[in-house]
Amino acid sequence: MPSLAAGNSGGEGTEAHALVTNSMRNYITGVLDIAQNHAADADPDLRLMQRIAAQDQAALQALYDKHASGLLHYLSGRLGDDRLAEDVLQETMLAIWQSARRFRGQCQVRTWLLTIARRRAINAYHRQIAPASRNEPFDGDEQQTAEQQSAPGRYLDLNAALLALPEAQRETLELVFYHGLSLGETAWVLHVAPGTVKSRLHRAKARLRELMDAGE
Amino acid sequence: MNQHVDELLPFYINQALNQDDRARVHSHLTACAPCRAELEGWESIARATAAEPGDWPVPELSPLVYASLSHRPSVRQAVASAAHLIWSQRVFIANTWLLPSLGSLIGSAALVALISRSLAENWVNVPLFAVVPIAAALTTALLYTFEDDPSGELIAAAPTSLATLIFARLCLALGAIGLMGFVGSLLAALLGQAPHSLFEMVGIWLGPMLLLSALTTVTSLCVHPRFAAGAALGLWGGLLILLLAEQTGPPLLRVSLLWLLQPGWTLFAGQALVAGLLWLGTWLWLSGHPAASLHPEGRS
Repeated sequence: MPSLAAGNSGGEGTEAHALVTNSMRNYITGVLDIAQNHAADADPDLRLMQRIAAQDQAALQALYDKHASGLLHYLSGRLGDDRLAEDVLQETMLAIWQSARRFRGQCQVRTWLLTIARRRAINAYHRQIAPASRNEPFDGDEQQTAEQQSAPGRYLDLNAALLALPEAQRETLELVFYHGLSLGETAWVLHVAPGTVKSRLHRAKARLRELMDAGE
Repeated sequence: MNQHVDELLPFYINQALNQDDRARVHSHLTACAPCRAELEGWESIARATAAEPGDWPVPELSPLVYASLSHRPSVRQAVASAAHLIWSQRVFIANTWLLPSLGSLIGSAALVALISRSLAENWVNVPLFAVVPIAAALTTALLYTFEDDPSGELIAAAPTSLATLIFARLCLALGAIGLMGFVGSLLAALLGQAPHSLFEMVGIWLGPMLLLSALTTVTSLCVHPRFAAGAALGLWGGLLILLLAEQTGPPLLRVSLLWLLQPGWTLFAGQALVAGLLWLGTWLWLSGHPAASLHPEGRS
């Protein structure tokens, strides 16, 4: 289950929190610059966002039709609960409607949607899942659950090994390879420095190699 | 193997590199066997990650969402929503200067009640005048701490704007400090045989509190929270030294400042008006800036 708390609001003492604090210059100059390189000019969704900001409900429906599948995939992966993910998707669309006027094209619309969805998922996680389980295994950036602390060589199948990764690493892989985000966009969504994205990717790869070594 | 190129391989695969980087990686790969092996590893991971687990049924956009789109909240709902937002900031307030400030205020109120019985009446207003404005200003300076603000992600991704968030915190912090100051004045009025009415005593510290807090809000956002806190301390400390010198002996300035300790509704209205204008300007300015552009590092 997910590390939605990783790198988020209350994460005092977490690695992500420290990294964000210590590399704020990177975050500001790096993330914004990189994200802006991919921003509004080439963004096919920008016109939809402008129409949504002008209170056009048909545009919201069009944006939903285009991105709902990807957002639902992302939310289900983070929350581990399809029903809750569907609810959070609806909340996300309402938040998009309410904040469309504040979208300034600093990143791609898709990146912005994922950022809002992630924030909504974190809220839903703390509201509905964490209180019931009284279990907060996700305070650390890449903390592993007992299930994830698997012995090296346990997995023969890469798909199964992916599920054994710490959530923060799996989420980063998903944003890059499923959603196709750039380095800056991934950092933007996760609210971490670009260097953190790189290190998560490489730790994920090393961990996968470790998990599958005996199977090769 | 070129480490820098190695870091770009995941984004070479997902085609998220710009043309220059893509060409550089492509060129490097033709000459570097270890990097090609790395690329194959990443391609396997990419295929496994991107593999769609069957059809993903997507629900329709909910009628409840549609109903909410054109829904305009009533005044009562808007007030309740604003109150909820303000109250939700209590976690932030609890981590700042507020609690020590409240303790100082209570202590100073008790002190006022005791010393005003035995000292000259023009001392009665000094403790609260000295403590409340600077406590409020120091709390105000840290309303938004840029680099490690717990609300950073919220600001980036939620309908709550930075201006709304900062002013919600401002309302909560100044409301709490003002309430404690009021209790202190009430105690002084009840126990200290104060020469002024309760509301006159409140006006003496409330005006400076609003003005100093508004100045600190502007300085905090335009320069840096730490600079704003230091400037407020310096300004207020200097003023208190001048006042105390004048109270106890020959004044340091040719101009008397004791009128600051006398009740006066014109003075209070002027301070409140200037504070209100500063905050209005801050609100308008914040509304035109994304949160990231306010960061001192980001402006450089």
